Amino acid sequence: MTKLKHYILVVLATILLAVPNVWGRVEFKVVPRQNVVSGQNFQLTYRITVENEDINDISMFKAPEIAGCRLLSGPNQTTSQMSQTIINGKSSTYAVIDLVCVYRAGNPSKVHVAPVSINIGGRTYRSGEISFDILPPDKNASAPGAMGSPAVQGAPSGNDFFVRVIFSKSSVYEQEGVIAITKLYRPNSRKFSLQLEAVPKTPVYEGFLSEDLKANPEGEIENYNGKNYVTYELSRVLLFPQKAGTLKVTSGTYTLRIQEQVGVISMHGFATPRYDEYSYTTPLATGTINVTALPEPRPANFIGAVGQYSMSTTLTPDMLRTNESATYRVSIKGTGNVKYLTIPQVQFPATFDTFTPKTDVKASVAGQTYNGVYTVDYPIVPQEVGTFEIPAQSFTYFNLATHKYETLDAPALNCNVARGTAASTAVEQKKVDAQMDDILYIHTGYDADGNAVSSPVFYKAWYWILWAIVLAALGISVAAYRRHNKLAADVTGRAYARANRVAAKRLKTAALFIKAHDSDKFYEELARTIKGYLSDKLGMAPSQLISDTISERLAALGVSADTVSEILSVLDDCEMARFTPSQSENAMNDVYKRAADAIKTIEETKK
Amino acid sequence: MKHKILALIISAVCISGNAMAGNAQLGDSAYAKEAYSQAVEHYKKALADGQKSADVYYNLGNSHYRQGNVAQAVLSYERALKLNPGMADARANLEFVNSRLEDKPEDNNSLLTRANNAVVAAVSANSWAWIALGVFVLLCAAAALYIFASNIALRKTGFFGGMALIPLTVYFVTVAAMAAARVGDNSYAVVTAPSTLLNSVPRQPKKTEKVVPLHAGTKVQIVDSIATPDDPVSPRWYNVKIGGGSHTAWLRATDVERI
Repeated sequence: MTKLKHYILVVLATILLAVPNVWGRVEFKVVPRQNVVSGQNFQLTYRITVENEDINDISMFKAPEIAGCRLLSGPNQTTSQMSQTIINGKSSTYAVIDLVCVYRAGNPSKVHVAPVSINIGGRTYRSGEISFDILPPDKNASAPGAMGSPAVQGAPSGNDFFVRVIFSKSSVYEQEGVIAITKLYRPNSRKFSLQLEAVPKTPVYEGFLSEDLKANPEGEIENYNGKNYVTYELSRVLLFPQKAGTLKVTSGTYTLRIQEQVGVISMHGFATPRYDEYSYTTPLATGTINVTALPEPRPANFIGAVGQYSMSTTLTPDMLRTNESATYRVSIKGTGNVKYLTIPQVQFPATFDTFTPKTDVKASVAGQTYNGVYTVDYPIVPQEVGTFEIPAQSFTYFNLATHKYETLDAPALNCNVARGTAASTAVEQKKVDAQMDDILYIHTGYDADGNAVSSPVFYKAWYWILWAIVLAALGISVAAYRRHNKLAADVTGRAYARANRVAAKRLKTAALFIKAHDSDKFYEELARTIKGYLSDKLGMAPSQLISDTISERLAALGVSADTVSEILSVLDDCEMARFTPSQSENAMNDVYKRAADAIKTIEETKK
Repeated sequence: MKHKILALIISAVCISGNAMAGNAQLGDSAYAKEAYSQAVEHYKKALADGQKSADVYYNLGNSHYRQGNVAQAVLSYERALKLNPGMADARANLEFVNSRLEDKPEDNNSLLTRANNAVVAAVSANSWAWIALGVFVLLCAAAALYIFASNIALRKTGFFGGMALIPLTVYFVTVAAMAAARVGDNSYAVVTAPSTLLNSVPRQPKKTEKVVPLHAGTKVQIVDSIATPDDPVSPRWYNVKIGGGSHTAWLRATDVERI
């Protein structure tokens, strides 16, 4: 498959290269000509340009009729140029054939010659049309084309040559284009040719923006103030007035090399023209033009456009992305001062970063003004995701046809901004904190808080007394707690003290009897006290107190067997002593002590 | 006679007392009408009548600033802050005005000093005193918790809390002491003259001597003063430090005003 393709390509290329250049070119046109003077003969030339074509067969056309002019001869064929070149074996031919018709100019008028057709090699070609003026003859002219006039030697007088600055319009608006031509005039009587040598003084176009155009190098015959002149354009410039008023253009001076025919030398019956050559510097010439100011008020969005315009806006790419640049383009297309427009202001959303717009003008001279496109590219970089609107653009220009301001509108553009891949992954957080740009407002409420302090509390004694109070409070509570703890820790001592208290209380009456040496009463009281104590302690009626029950209950309370037997023996001793008269004080003390000890022991016993 | 004088004094005090609140409010309404020179007069009268409050100084500072008198504005804000170091608005305005001054003295204080200064100035001296006392009460409470509680966890809390609160109490007492010292400290001054010169000696500098110009609104610390009765330029010179630096220089006492 690929091989086949390759093969085909090679064959095609070979064919293309092998075939000689067969595409020829034939052009048929009328040669432009200058004005003619009434009564003089003139030629009208049609030119056939042929490239790479054999021309054997030209069917001649009929010379066109020109109103008021008489056809003298033609069309006469002259081959003015023919060449054949062979480059790398490839032959190419080039031929120019002129077909000349000779007329005698009739009465002064504007002449318009319609196109003519010609058949070359079976094909028909059409020439263009041509217009020129037939000028009236000079009032004081001698015989036309007088060759035998006396020779004039040396530089011509100032009256002979003169220079004019000619505007294409007599009155213009500001910013409306106009062409100024500086022309050299010389009476028609003498033929001459000229060559520009230098411009010692350049022209001044004050109050204009200017662009030099190519001056017509051909001489013209022009009737000025009833007299025919040979004229040459020294300069041609397109001007745009920048201010209103009567503006003046001063031509430069031009140093010209002039060659003119001053006579004929007759030699051996041959007449040879005689030429004179000299240098001539033209004088300064001025021209004025009235410039009308554009009507006031000028619209706000007027950017100085004068002429005829259209506008379009585009946004590329369609899909905007954050941190990726896009271009908003405003194109203003039309005829007028395209080159001198100012950049229109565009209000982009605040979240778009904008940069300096780039302008581009593509314009060419068309008639007396420019024709082209003024393009402004606004580079934008969206910073936020969302839907934004680029507002509608309006463009106002001054229409020279209607003498009014006219406004064009381009619709608002809604654009969606997506998150761009170019954006860094960590989106920079925007500072939303409002920067302080002025002092804060006064305070109007006068609180007592902010009032002057005569002396800080830190230096006041009562402040430090507060410290002392806090510390003292801690100290006191710690001390109290310590004491409380100490007592709480001494459990035995407490029980002992209580037991002592109970025993002492119970045995108080008995102790009184020891002191009274009343042994009967003492033992009686002691027995009653012990029984009372036991009945209280064990929760039993005194009548129920019998030794078995007592020992059983006391044992249940956890009292040791020794103590139980001790207290029972004390009770027994008391019973015994009632029958034993007069016991010694020692014996009573002994029993008392045993009873007290027993009660204490019982009291001390933990339940 | 005595009664008459007493009655006079009492009535004068009453009148001035009424006028006191009135002057500040008159100042407020003048300020609201953008009649700043009138506002200045009213606030000054309020201060002269004894209503030396941070708010009045603050408002006076605002009025001065509106009149373009940055030196007096700085002085008033500094005075407001001296009375109430925790006045955020006064601090904000002072910083704002300072940022617009011709001089921007370098802050030569260490990071620690700067942090400490900020802490001391955070609230008023009295607030610091109460905070110190409060922390001490907490310390005592922690000690009590350790001593009295029977629960081990509570006792531990009390112990370690107390341990942590001891240095904190010391720190807060120090801060309170510094804040209290600042209340009475009048060693700071603000340059009120449009510009003055920092000399190396307490006299008008000679042409060959190198001097540093100082402009209105700059705060200086007065470390020494010298009376020069024979000096035709100034009868008193202050030896000052700027921005916490160690270098000192002399300037005319008449060019500055103590805060």
